Amino acid sequence: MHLKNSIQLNASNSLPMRLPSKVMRLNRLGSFHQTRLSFNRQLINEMYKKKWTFNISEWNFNEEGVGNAVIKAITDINVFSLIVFCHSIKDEERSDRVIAEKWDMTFSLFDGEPTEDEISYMSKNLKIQELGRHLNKQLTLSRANKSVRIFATVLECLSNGKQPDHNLINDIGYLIRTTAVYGNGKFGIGDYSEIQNKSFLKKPFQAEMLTVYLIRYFSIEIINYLAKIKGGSKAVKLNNTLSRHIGVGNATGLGMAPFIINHQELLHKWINAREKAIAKVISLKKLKPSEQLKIITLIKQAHEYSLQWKVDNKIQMKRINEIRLNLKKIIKNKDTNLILKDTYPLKKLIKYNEKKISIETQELLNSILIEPFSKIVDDLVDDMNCEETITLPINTSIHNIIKIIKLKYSWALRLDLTKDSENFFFWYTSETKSEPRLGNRFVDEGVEKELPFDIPHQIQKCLKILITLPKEMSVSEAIINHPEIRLIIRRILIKENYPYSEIQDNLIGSLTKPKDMLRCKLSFFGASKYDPKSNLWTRITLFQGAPLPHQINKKRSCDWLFPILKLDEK
Amino acid sequence: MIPISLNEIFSETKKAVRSVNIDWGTAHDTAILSRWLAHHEISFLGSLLKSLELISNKQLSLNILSNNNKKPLSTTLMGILLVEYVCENQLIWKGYIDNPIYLVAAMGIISYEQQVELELKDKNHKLIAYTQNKELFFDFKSNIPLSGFVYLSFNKNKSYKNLIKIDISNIPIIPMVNKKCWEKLKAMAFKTYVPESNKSRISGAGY
Repeated sequence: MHLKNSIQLNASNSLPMRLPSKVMRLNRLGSFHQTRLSFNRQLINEMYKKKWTFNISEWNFNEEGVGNAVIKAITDINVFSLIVFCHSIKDEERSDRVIAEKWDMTFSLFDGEPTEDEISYMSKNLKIQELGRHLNKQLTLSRANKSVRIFATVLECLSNGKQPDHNLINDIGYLIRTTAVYGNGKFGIGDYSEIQNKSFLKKPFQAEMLTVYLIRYFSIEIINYLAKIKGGSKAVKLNNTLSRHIGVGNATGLGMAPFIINHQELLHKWINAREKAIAKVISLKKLKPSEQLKIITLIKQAHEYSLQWKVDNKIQMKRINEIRLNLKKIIKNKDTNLILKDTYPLKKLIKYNEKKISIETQELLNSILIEPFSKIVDDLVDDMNCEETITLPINTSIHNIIKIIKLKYSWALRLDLTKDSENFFFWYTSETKSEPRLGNRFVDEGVEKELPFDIPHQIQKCLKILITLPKEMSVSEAIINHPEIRLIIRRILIKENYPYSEIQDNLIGSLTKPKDMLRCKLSFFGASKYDPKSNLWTRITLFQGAPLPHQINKKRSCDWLFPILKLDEK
Repeated sequence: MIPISLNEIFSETKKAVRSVNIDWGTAHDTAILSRWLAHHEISFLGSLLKSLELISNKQLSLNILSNNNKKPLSTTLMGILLVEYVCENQLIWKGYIDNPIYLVAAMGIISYEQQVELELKDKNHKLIAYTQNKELFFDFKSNIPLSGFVYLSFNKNKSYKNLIKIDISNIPIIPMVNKKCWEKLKAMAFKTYVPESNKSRISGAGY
């Protein structure tokens, strides 16, 4: 794909899209919530539309739950298998760290049905994860640990014939927690470019989402199995209500952050789809009474969800409290109903509330407003992936580049980069499992191996060079003499055509909170219950409230925004 | 020979190139070319390692406008920039290069993305490769000079019939590379990593 032929934001359809200068700030990106465009929602929609079925084709476990299973997802045209191995590990060996070396379970999504030889190969390599070499028929590579806060308690309850406490299930939200889900060619597994023509995998991160969905199913099946072994005839299965509220936990750190810096076009595609969806719904002239009711119902549900969302992190808890107050006010305000009956109701609802509510509530409200309008927003998911550009467009002059910098990177030019605070961090790749890390430039070693995430710095340096060159000089001639600007020129040219492709903050500044970058990406995965543990990592839950395999084909199985659980009275 | 994914080839090449003090943009270009070659089942790793060694020893030029037979231009690294330069200025570039394979890959990519027509000839004006209608024609089994003097020119509306079309459709393949060479590339890539501090380690995810 050639840059100049790529899409132009909003050039022909005149949708009232929000400006990148508003959307692409870290504090807003770090306030995003799941929407119906999120990748896990896309996966469930696909399962529903194509009538997927699931079955457990192998189940070989001993009384301690050590063994292996194969769970098949059968689509309209393909079969994918989750191969799971459960291991026996000591409590002290259990760690959420990506650098851990042992896990309760290791697993992989396999393209097709594995042979015995392939299962045998995986039994040796999956358990050592990054240290193993993996088959190209494997689409993902992952591992998980039991949640020590809940697994044993739930098992005890079920084996004694009781359902566990709803509050406990809600407070934790998952039985197992993954620490990494590798995909797309890592450690020898299959490249997605080789299988994209195949099916639903054309959409982003679908293999990873399917892996997590299937391991969630497995986590429920294994606890039911162990309860039966432990309790015999008195044991019960986790009921449907609680099972559905079980998601999969994940501890996400800096490993995720570089993706949204390195893949500008993709970032644009994701944000653009979301922004287009918002623009489409706020352009609706009138709402049917059923749609008005749905919006109100969703706001109430989001409020209840916020009441059930509790974290230790004081800053995030403050934000959650703001959401609670903001939503309560919207619900109680008589104007809300009047606005929804008016013309251009959703546009007015946003305008009316925007200055009264926090950024996090604004973005949560956007998720709500998109939700009822599947018919007008769901097709946007078809434009959330792209082939990334390689060559720089020919016939681009220095004059053009300078013009784009001044127009599109004014935020970067305004920064005073001589300040220590704007040079505080540096990003690097750690020797430990090749994980990205953030170092303090004034303390830590390794600055000379810094990753090129200092975008405003590169912009300012590039401009300084370009203004010394003849205006009509071509880009390639400029790069011949200054190869160090090639990377940033590529970014600039992508930014010209992909307005939402650049985070408009200094990613090495002292105020940068990488968790905002993680949160942005995780919202597109469809994460819920963000539980930040520092500025560098967060826990989340995936697929909480999603239909279980036997519920996929039921009506409304695709609607599961802001899952709530009826809690036990204390 | 061992199977390696295309993404591994991309990421390890990028870091290995960076490890010899090449800028990130050029490292990115080289990684793309390696991945393209692997995807088309064209051997690349030996010539890549050789080029990186020569670059470390300052025996290759990184400037399109400056080369000679003792210090040829590294098309392994500068291949994409060279085809962009030739297309942009619509000229015939001639000079000594280290690695025609990488230059051919760059021709294939720019032709596919920007539909430009290029031809590459050896010092005797024998055709090595050309592009036409977004397609690349190149007989890589018999037409691979290891290095040497070439002419790269921007051409419009020429037609040829004597070379083999490279199929650039996405045929699933599993790239196979020499294990020893791969380990060498990985060792170079590893040089771009930093030992993490204890503080950084304990502030990572999961703690």
